[in-house]
Amino acid sequence: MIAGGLAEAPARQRLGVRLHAMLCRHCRRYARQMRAIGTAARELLARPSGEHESLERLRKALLGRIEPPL
Amino acid sequence: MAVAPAEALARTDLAAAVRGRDPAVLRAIVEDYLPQILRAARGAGLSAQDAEDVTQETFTTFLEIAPRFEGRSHVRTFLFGILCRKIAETRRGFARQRQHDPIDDAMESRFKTDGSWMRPPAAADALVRLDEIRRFLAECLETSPTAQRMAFFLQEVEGLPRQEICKILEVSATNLDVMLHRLRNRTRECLEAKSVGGSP
Repeated sequence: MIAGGLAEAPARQRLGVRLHAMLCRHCRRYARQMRAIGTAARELLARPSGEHESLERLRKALLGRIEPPL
Repeated sequence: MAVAPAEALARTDLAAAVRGRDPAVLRAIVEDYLPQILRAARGAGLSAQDAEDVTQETFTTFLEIAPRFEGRSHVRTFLFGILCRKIAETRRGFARQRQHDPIDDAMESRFKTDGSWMRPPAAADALVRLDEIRRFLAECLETSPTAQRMAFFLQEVEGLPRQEICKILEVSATNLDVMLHRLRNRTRECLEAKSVGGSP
């Protein structure tokens, strides 16, 4: 929860976690690291390289299996 | 005259058109979703060649079973579902959602029985700087199971609704949260192990 899974927790639990985070530097550090990892992983996975050639090959192969529209 | 992809996909009788193998609709589906499926295959950790192969298999299967498409789910969900099943055929353990993951033990070991930290996360401000994270991130993500990577990719990169992700991966909402948490924890532990320096 401290790492961001609070959205669906009961309000009382969310408040308790937030209060704890205000007092516990270790948990704040853990949450900060987890958020940074999420951001960096998102950027890394969103930009694979060398897709263009693959897409062209795939497009040719797959569209060739579909009869052209009338 | 060719129909624009957006127009073809906006048809209210899309499911019927797919079942009827309407060429314009099938072409529009391939054009529209091909980049997304390929990106997901790569995001799940497959090599460029394996991703290309499994993407081709996904669409080939879709074209073969188009007559059985009932339209109960979005075409995108249907395609991603085929993709995940194709990956599961080649990646041992993809389909099997483990009750126990070693990362859970690693996290448990960081806490005392009273719930306080015994081994808190390393101070390593280096761990928080994005440039440091990027150096090791690709290596650390490799340590996560393919299913967890796919779950993360679908949520964080593709931004798919949770309900759709659960349908694609055939997991409950709770299991999805566990998968995502395990991936982040495993990556964090790996990065901490790799990071150098950092202030105490």
